[in-house]
Amino acid sequence: MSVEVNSLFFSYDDKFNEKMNYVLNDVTFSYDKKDILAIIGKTGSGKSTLIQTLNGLEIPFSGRINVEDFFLDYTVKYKKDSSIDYRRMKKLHKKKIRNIIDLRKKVGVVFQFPEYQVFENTVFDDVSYGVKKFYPDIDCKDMVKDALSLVGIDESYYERSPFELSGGEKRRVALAGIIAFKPDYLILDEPTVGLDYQSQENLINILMKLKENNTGIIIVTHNMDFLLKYADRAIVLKDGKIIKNTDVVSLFSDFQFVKENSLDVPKVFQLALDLNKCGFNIDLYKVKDSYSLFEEVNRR
Amino acid sequence: MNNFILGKYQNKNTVFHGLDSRIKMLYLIAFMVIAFLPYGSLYVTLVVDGVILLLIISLYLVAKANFLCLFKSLKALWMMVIFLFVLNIFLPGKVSGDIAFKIGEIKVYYFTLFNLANIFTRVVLILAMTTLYSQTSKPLEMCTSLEFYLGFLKFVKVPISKLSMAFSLALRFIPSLYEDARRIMKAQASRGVDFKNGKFKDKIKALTSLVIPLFIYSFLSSDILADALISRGYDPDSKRSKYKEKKIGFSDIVFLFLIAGVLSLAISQCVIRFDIFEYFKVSLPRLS
Repeated sequence: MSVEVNSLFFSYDDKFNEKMNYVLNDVTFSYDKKDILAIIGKTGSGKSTLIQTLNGLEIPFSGRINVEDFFLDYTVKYKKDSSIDYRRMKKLHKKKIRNIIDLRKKVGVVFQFPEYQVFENTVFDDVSYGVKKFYPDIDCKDMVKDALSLVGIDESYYERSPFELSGGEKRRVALAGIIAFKPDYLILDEPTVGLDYQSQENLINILMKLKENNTGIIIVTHNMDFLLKYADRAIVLKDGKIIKNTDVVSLFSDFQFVKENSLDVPKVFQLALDLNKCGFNIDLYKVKDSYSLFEEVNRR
Repeated sequence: MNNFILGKYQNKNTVFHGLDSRIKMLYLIAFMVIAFLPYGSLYVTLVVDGVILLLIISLYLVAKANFLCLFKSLKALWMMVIFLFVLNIFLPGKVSGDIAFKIGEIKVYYFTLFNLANIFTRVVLILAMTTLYSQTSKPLEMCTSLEFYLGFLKFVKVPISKLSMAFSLALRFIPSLYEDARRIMKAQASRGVDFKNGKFKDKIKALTSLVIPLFIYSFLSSDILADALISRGYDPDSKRSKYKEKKIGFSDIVFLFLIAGVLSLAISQCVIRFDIFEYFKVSLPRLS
């Protein structure tokens, strides 16, 4: 497995006590790079916190994270009824993580509305900023050009101010800023929010190219159509706990679970399920969108 | 950023919390005046300061306010005290009176020590009162009372209501700005920006990566807010009204009389300069 997370606990409270409000409550899962993993859940379920612990932006209360050969051990030995200052413990944990920069080089995180993080004078400078931080000794021009070319920004934009660009172009520049330092894993927090259909398709193409280049993709999303079409596996979070960790087809086929957790089943998948009830015998694993559904129906 | 102490409002149900914020602001101004009035000799001034401090502590108990906030603010004062102490020892000026102790050839007078104690006590009084005020008053209430007391500036064409609206909006958006700053810091940290370690030049560059997006996002948000206000009928030139008009109650009047009483006692002492130590013939070190 490429990424392993074991018994992760996280809270925004400062003191450990029995009434502590856990944002992440004993989260354990494994992730294989060959899959696209989707993390779904209601607002406040802990999705953003989970992805931030994966690259050291948030320090959990306890647990272990293994990203290939990078191992983070936050296990704490304490007596259950003792009072622990969580803030002090976070400081102790931070001291243990001497090479957090190496982890952030491996795991790139693209936050929601990444266009708001651009700040340099030119597009080229902004994209090269992260690369220079992680690889100060090498000439980063080629890495930056590759990243900008991947996101569809041509050379005429390089010397322009990023603040002159449209929202979509800015988002692509911000994405290039993360891709440029070639992380092994790319985590995106709701990347399709605010994008029109064409922009979403462009983003997907970029992610597919990255996947072909052996970059692990983890996406936090509420978009179930996107999930069905592109994700291989899904983790469902509720109140900080993982309540489901399975492939996408099994997730949407579990009617009881979907109903109990108010999940929105993609219409094309619902149609495929209904067709199966009428005896069509459609292979649900091949249903990604309406086109693939019609192909399946034709085949039958 | 997590340790930034603003004396956050604490929502409690006490008599002090229920007071009109204009009365509380009067308290604040009155105690500031009282803290800086001259009461005669340094000994008498320290005694009066002690009495005022006891009054403020009793107000803290009535308001069930958090003493921890005050102690945290006082931590920063130690450096100032040490600096003043060293300054007064090496540059005492025209000081005479009894010597408290000597450090080698340097004489430390009782006047220096009591003068320092006086300065420190006054700063503590001001901090204590302002911390109590901010703990018991909502930021918007503070703006309302500021608008009330600066209302006379209308006659010199100062747009007080617009300024007050701008100020209250700015206060309201401080927590949002803080959240945006945290979000931007995390986003930049994921690109390798280190805000804590590195050379001075790198730290300035790191700060730039936070400040520029924050400013741009703030300007964007203020544009959106202005549009939202206008589309909901806000007219900056029309007279402002309030959804809840706070009326002066019985407890407000009682506290008003208390302020008046304490202030008149302080002014009387300032004028009469009654020396309690002289009255009771207590012998103390000579200060001059």
